Amino acid sequence: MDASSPSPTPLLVAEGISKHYDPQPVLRGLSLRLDPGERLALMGPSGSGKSTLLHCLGGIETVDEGRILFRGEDLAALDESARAALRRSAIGFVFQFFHLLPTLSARENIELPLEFAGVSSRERRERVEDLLAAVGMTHRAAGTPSELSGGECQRIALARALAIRPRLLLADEPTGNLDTASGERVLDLLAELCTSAGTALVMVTHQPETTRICDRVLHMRDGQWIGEPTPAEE
Amino acid sequence: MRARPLPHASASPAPPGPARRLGALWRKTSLRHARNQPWQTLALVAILGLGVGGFLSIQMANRAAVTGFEGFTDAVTGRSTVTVEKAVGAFSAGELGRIRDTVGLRPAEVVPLVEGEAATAGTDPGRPLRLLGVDLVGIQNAPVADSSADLLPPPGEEPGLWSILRDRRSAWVAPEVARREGLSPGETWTIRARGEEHALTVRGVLPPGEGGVSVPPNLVVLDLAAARSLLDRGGVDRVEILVDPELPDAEALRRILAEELAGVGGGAWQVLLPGQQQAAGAQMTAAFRLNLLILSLIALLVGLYLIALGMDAAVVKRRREIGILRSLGLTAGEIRKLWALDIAALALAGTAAGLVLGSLGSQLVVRAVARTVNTLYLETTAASAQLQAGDVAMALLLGLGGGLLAAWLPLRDAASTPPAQVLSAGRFRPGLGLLRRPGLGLVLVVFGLAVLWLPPVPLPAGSRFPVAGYAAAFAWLIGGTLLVAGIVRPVARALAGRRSLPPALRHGFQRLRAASSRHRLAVAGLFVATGMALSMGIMVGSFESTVVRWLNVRFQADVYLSAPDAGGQPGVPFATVEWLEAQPEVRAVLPSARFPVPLEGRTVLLAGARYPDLLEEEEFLWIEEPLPLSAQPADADSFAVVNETFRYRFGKGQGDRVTLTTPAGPRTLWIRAVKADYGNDRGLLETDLRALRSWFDIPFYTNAVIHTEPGAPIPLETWRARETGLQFLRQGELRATALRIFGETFTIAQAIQVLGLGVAFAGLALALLTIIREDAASLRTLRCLGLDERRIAKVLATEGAGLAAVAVLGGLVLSLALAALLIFVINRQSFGWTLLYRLPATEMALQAVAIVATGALVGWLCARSTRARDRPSSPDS
Repeated sequence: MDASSPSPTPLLVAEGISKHYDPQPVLRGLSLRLDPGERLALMGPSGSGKSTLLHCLGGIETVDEGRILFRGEDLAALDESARAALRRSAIGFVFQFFHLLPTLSARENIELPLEFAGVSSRERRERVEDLLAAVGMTHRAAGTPSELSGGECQRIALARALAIRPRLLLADEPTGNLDTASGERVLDLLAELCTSAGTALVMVTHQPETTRICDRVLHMRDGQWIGEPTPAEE
Repeated sequence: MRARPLPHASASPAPPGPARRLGALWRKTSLRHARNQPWQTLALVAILGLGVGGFLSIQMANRAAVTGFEGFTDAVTGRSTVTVEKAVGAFSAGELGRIRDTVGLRPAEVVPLVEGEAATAGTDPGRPLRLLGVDLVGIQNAPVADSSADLLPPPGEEPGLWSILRDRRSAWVAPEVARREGLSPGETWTIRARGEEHALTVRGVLPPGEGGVSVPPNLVVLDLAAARSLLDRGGVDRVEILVDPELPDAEALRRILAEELAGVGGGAWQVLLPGQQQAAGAQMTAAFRLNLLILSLIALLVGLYLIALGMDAAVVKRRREIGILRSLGLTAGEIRKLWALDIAALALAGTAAGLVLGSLGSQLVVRAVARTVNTLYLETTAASAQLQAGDVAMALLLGLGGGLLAAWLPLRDAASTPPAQVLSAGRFRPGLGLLRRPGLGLVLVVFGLAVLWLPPVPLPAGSRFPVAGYAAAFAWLIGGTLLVAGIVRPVARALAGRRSLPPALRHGFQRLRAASSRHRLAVAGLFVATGMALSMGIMVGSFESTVVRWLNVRFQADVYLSAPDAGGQPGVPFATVEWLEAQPEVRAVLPSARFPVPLEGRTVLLAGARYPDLLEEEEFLWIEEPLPLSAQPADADSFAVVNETFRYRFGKGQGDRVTLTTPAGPRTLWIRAVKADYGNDRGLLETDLRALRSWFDIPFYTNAVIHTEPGAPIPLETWRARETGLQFLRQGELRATALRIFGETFTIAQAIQVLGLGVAFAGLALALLTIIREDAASLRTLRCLGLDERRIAKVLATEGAGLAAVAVLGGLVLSLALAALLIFVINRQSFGWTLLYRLPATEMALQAVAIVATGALVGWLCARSTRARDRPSSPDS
């Protein structure tokens, strides 16, 4: 796919990326473009490479071939520290199993990335309270993850991911471990928060109904796109 | 298309039995893990081996030292003997005649013996030898001389029996001597005795001991006449009465003979029945050996702690596999059995390693133990320790039993693992709840304080076991462990709340704030190891400073004269002292004689010194200052100055009286003063030398101190040249020697200190690795949140340092308490010594800082090792 589309200036561009877990190829020459605020769903069977693509886009993993440009900056040119700094300031993650730190309260889980990003104590407090209110968890702020339900944990995880006001949110099956009602609530919240913050979203999902909050849907199999690409990916 | 029906259950072959199924599963899981990760398997085997080996080595060395008390004649004469000894001096011909008359025509043989020390000469000079002179013709006729019969060639064989016995150079050597010196029959061999070299002809190698009697490794047997000549003895040292053990009434005859001989000898002869000599030595050292046993148990305990951590790490690592097996239908009980099988296999391998390590380690420890016994009690010949069948059984018991005991918590943890579905949902949080009882800890600490009032338990031969001290130490160790484990969370909570801290540090404390049971286990282990190591440091430091102070007072003379350990004269001749007194450079010579005597069923050291010159020339560390001689009661034969140990063992102090049995009849001594004396722990009773010589037939002095005229040169070389069989040492030389000997007595304590610190570090590393491995998902989350490796390392370094700091703070308190116990309770009750309490503050502070820094370093290294092992991924990977 061709990433050299005209304006607006893309947030993220992937050009011909490939990745192997020896000897198995996982991603095979994928290209992708994501505009600011755009919401993209990735679908495909297990083992198609969706999660690996997500990790590469977030700088958790590196690609073997091709390049990924985030705000025009090549991730491969950054060292591990710089990529970590990028995740601290501009990229948020949401996981299927929430991965809240079990030793911290809900409030502290949200505050943690802000602390590491060097946000002042006062501003941290304000942002955390706003986010708690936004996800409707103010009353459960002192609870630890073991005291929260799955849906509550995912709401806290969402607030944590958005605390740094990321430009890009990468969500790996965010409703995969929730019941239908909780999943719906989390999904609505995800769309609402991304819209209000102007955050772009790449969401891996197995559930077609969750793609309703996305602008585009891409299907993968064996590390490649399948089906007709939409004009944005041409 | 229709699916093919599954075969009916009844058509399938009979399922394997539970044991076979478990065995097969173990081969496919545990054994493959062991094969795939040989280094980790080896580490666990090594930990087990170290625990078992440490315990065994101390036990074997201990036994070797005690068996060294066996009479040197046992190997030659067998054990069916009644031994007659004199408290001091040798048996004269007249006394020997009285013994023969007493035995008369009864079926027993009188065998006079001479025993003394010599040393090797030639290429490897100075190795100590024990010379035993025995009437070789007489012993051939003796009824119980089975092993000695091998000493001589059969009659008629060359060289002839009489020609051998006529040859005063004939010698039979122990197998160890023959091996070490490369000797074989017929060779000429040179030894050194009483300062002179003597050439001997080796006639044979002593046969190995029979019936559990071992040949002392440095034994040399000579004919009685030859030995008396070599050792310059006028009489015989000891007489053995050999009774035929085949006699139906042998035991009764021995007892009758012993009673009759004791009556004939009065207080001058000591008559011992078979085994009494060894038993006396064993009893005398009972307290020391008990202390060693406890030290070896500590070694075992730390080994078990490491095993527990090692197994815990293995369980955590294989948690997913256990979860899958549970999902496939294995019950918790079957998982427990599977892991028990694992531990048993490891324990067997560890036991084998422990036997090898124990054998090697005992060779290192045996000399330290033997030196301590030599210094404090009596001479032993222990030079090497032998592995026996009992040791193998003990190793198996320790390895298997200890391994299963140590792995009990990890085993329980493994069995409680839920099926994989629950695991993958991240809802499983294992817990070891035993360490969550600070209240119980407080109760135990108070209990420890309460039992301090208990008196020591008396042991045979006058030793005492400080039961209160050990019970308090145990209660404080366990109680302190629970208390310290309980304060991790509050301390971390206080620090995590400090917003001024850098984020990585704060998050490190946040992790500790919710400390898991594994955190508590790590803190507990580190607390015990640190407390133990630091308390040993305080005790050794206190002992050293006390002894240095004592030596400063003790060694005030300019020159010390004594008989050397080996190859010299048996004592200092009277003539030598008289000659020295006549020298112009000499201001005063203060000779002293000392020898063990029985008192109230125990043994004490009786000494004679030249009073009142001694009090004028030298200073003492008085526990109770001397009373004036005018206060001596009229019915007392003389006065005595006793040491502190005597006061503790016999409960007699200033103003009390002691009655001694002497060849001159009973003599009453009035205790005039009590002095500090760290030279022995049996008790010293020192009286006036003139009085002592009038009661006992003393052939020579034990030693003498020489005070020279101020500023006068000391012609030491001239004196040495004149008195070749004696040893002259300057003050500095003797002090250095004394300090070295005292230092050696603490070799084991220092080894425990090093072991403690080693375990502290190893335990912390193992525990942190386990914690990090179990919490790998959190670390991956932190990476996703933008923490680079440096920051993650900081978080884990804070966690490690925090754990270490809490443990070290607790360990410092514990060490102060344990050291006070060791010095004021255990040491005083065991040995009767008052020590100064010296706190090596700088050394302790440095060690504490080093442990905390190591905690941080271990955390940092664990973070690095995690990064190396885990490829970057999301927590869901």
